[in-house]
Amino acid sequence: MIKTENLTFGYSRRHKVLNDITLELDKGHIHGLLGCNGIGKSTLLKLFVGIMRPQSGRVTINGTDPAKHDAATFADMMIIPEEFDLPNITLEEYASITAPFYPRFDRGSMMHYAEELQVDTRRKLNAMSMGQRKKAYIAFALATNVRTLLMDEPTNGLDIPSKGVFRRLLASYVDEERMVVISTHQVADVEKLIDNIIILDAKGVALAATTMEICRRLKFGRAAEGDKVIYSEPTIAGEMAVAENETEEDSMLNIELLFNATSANRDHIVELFNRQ
Amino acid sequence: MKSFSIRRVAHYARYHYTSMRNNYLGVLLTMLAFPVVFGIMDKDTCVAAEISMSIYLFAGIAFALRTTWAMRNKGTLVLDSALPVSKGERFTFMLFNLAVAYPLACFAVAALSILLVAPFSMEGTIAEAMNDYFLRFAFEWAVYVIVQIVASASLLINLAARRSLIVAYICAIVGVIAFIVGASYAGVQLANALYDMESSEWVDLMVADIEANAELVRWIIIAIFVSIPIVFYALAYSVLRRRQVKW
Repeated sequence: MIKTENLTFGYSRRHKVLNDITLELDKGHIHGLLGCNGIGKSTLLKLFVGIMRPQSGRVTINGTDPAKHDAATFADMMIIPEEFDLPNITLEEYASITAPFYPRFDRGSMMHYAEELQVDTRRKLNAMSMGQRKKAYIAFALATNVRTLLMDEPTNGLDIPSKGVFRRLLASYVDEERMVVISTHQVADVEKLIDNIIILDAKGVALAATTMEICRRLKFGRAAEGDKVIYSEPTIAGEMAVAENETEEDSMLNIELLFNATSANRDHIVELFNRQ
Repeated sequence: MKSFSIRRVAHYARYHYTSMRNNYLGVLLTMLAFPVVFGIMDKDTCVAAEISMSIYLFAGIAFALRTTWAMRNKGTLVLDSALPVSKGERFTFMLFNLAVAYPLACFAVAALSILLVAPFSMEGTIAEAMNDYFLRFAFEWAVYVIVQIVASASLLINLAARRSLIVAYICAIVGVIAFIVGASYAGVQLANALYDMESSEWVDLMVADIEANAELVRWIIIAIFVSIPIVFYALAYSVLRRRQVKW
């Protein structure tokens, strides 16, 4: 479990990026971390892996402080950054030098994932395009079988078929013991995967709820007469709205609409989700 | 899982050297090129040995930079920092790289440069150059301490500097110069004050005391000298443990 308590962080004392973040991310879920540019999503992931340290508050990963860099905790955790460089070696070589750190690494799985994602395991990693490199690293990361997988914009740079494969692989990766945290702007790419949504804004956590909880409290689609509309926007299909779900009607979650509704009407959303 | 495992240090060393092999190759080829080129130009193996000596003294800066490169480079920072290696294990590797691997690499490159220059040499022989480099220079303990002062100070700067390394090095150099100038000035002032006070009797006593305990004074100076890299390494470990390397 990843837990943050009143976490505050800034790159300088004056400029705070994260403000009073209190969160609990449980295993068995794919958590979606959403927020505008520069709101601190990537920074939060870096705080989870102890690269940065909070100015105040605390972060714990299964009860340990990631800044202490306990090897056992990190052997069960992996991060895929948005952009990264890999050494001038092949994926197979990379796996041979990195796998000893991860006790549950399975080379066969990596080859399978690489094949699914159409990655040439014998090609030099730094000669690959960013998308290819990301797919190679995703194949490696999934094969480590870590229980905590953090991903920063994982679908950036992936081609359309690869996005589909990625969704399929990730859906089969998560079980009761594992969790994935995805920070992304590309909500359409992971909309069907995420089952817990966290929306960050300048004031802190605007929303943290499971998709089930969201659909119980909100309904998405064309507003009917008498609906308590929180937010609406024109689309090609007509006026789409987010309204209070007073009649517990079933509707299809639209994360983009939810995000816009939270940005436009934060206090209403916060109040609605705090209601018993 | 143990909090410190020498096996994990070895895994990290393998990871580091494999992923940084092109960088290290660049450093080693540069270290080789200078003595070979100048040695061949002068047709003297001893010139190659002399240039290798200068390189040995200052290559610690390049090795410290390579040691912390993955932790500072934007593209590799996250992946390297998230590896399951504790701070103690990481530092053990850094210590090995700077205290053992770097001198051995310098010795190997120096020997190779002397051998490469030898066929063109009109003056020095291989034996003379090897003798100059190894027996009269590289195997001297004082040289090793100086080399470790440079390497440990560079490691400390690389770990402590949050933004520009160049600015950090300039600050460090200015700081060292200011310290030397300040200490010299204070020493001169103190000496003048002692003479002005006409306390030459006391000064004579002090000089006599130092001469009488020359061996003890020598050991104190050696202890201070040796403790400099130890203090720098301890500070580097403290920085590594207590704060992130770079944003």
